[in-house]
Amino acid sequence: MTATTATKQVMLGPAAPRRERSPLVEGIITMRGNKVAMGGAIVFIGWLLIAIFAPVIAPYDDPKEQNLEARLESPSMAFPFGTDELGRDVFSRVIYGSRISVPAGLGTIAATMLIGVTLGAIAGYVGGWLDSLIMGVVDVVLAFPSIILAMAITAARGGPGLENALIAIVLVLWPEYARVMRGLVLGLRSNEYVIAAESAGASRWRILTRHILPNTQAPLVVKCTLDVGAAIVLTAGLSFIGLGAVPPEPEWGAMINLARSKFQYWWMGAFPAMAITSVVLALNFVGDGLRDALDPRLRK
Amino acid sequence: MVVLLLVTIVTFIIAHAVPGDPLASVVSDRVSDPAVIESYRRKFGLDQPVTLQYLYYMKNLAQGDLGLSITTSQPVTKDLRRYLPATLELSGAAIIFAIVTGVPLGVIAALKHNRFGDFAARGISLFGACIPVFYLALLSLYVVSFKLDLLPFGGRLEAGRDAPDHVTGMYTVDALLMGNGGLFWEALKHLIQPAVVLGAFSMGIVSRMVRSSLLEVMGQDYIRTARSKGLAEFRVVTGHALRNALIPTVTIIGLLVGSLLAGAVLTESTFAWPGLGRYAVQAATKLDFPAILGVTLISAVIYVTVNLIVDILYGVLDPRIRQG
Repeated sequence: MTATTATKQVMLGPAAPRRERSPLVEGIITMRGNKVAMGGAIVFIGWLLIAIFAPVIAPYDDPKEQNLEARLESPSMAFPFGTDELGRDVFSRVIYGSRISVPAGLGTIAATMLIGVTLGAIAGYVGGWLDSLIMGVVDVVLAFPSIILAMAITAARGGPGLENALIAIVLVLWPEYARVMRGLVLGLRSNEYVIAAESAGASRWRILTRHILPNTQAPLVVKCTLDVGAAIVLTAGLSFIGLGAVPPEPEWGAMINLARSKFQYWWMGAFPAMAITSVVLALNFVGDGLRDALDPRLRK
Repeated sequence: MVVLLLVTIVTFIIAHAVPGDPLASVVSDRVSDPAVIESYRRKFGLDQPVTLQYLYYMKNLAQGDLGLSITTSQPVTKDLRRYLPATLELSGAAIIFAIVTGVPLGVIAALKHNRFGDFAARGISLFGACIPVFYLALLSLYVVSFKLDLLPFGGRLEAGRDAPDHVTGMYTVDALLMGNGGLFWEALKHLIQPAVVLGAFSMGIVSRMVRSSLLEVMGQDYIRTARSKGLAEFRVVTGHALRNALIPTVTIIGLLVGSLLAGAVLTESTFAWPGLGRYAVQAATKLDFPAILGVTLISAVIYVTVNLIVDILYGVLDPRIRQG
C-alpha cells in the first residue's frame, strides 16, 4: 500500500461501506439502555420459557386433574397458589394456562398482522377503487366495539370455544393494521428512492416488497408488541363471559370466571389475574421502550 | 351515513353466517308456533334471493323490527329500549370519573415531568390500563363490598325497591327529577363502584393523553410569553396551557366510547347491572342471534354518532380545523 492510498483511506474511511443496520435493529439496540423496557422484555421471555417448560415447572402434571379432598385450600407449601372448587392446583393451572394465553396472543396478532398488513399495503400502494373498498371495510369493522363484534362472530360460528373466539379476535383486530399500514405506505411511496425504483422499471411487487415493506417494520413491531397484550386480555375477557375457552381448560380468563361467585377464596382469581397483568404490563413496557428508541425526537 | 349503511351490511352478513336456518337470526328456535315462524319467514323474505333479503332486512330495521329475543321472548327493539338507559347511565358516570381523575393525573405527571409525581401518576394510569377490567370488578367487589361493606354488591337498587318513574330510564337522573333524595342516594351508591371500575381504563388513557399534549404545549412560545408577563404558574397552566392541551383529549373521548361499551359487557355481567352489556352476554351464551345482532347494531350506531359529534366539536374548539 502506498502512502497516498493509506492517507486517502484514513480520510475517507474504510473502502468497503459498513452494512447499515435496519431501523428496527437499531431501535432494539438503543432500547437496551432502557431498564424498564428491558425488565418488561425479561418478564415476557420468562413467560415464554414458563409456557415451553410448563410440564417441568408445574408440580402437578395434569392441570385438569381433580382432587375433591383438597377443595378450596388456601396457598400452602403443597399448593403454592391454593386450590379451586374441584381441588385442582391453581399454580399448575396458571403455569399451564400460559400455554394457552401467550400463544393465543402471539398467534392472533401474527394472523391479524398478516391480513391487515397485506390489505393495508395493497390499499396504500395500488390506490383507486381497491383502496376505497378496503378502507370502507376497515371503517365499518372499526365502527363496532371490539368485544361486542367478537361476541357476535363467536356466536355466529357456533358458540363458545377457544378456536371460535380467536378467529373472532383476528376478524375484529385486522382493520387497525390495515389502516396503520396504508398510512405508512402512503408516506413512503412518494420518497425519492421509490420514485427512482419506479423510473428504473422495477415491478410494483418488487417495489412493495424490497423498498417499502422493510421501512414499515419498526412502527408495526411497536404496535404488535402492545397489541399482543390486548389480544391476551380480549381472549381472557371472552373466556370470562363464557364465550372463549371452556372448562376444564386452564385458560386465565376462564379461571377468573370460576372465582366470580367465590370472593372469600381470593386466590382462585388473583393469581390468574396477576399472570395476565404481568404479561400485559411487560409488553407495554417493551412497546413503549421500543417506541421511544425508534423515535429520534424521544431519544436521549 | 355510509358507515351506518355498511354497518347494517355487516350485521346482515353475520346473521346469514348463523349455522343452519337463517331464520334463527330473527326468531328463537323455541318458538314452535308455525304461524309465527311463517310470518317472520315472509317478513324477512327468507325465501327470496339474498339481495332482496337485505332490502327486507333494511325495511324491517327502518320500522324498528329486529326480531324476537330468545332470552326474553320480547321484541329486541323493546329490550334495547329497556336496557340502553342503564348502560348510558353507567358509561356516562364512567366517563365523568375518567375525566375528573384522568385530567388532574395527566397535569401532575406533566408538571412533575420525570419526577416522583410523574412516575406515580403514570404508574396509576398504567395499572388502570393493564389490569383486566373483569378482574378489577371482582377485586373491587371483594374489597369494597365484601370486606369493607361500603357499597352494595350489584344491581341498580336494593331488591324489592321500586324504580323511579320512567323519564330517562337513568335511575339517578329520574330520582332527582322526582325530587326523591333517598332514592337518588341509593341509585348513586349502586352506580359508583361499577362506574369507577369501568372508567379505570379510560382514566389511564385520558391521563396519558393530557400528559403528552401538556408537555408539548408547555414548550410553546406563548407559554414563555405568559411566564415572562409575570403570571403565576397556576394561571399559566390553567388559563393558557391546559385549555389548548385539552383539545386533542376531546377526540379520544369519541374513541373511549367504544372501549366503554366493550368494557360495559364485562363490568355489567360482573356487577349484575341490567344494561346492554349484560343482555349481550346472556344473548351470546344462549346463541340468541336477534338480541346479539340488535346490540351489535345499536352499539355501532352509538359509536359512529358519538364520533361524529366529537368531530364537529373538535372543529368548534379548534379554529384551525374549522379553517382547514
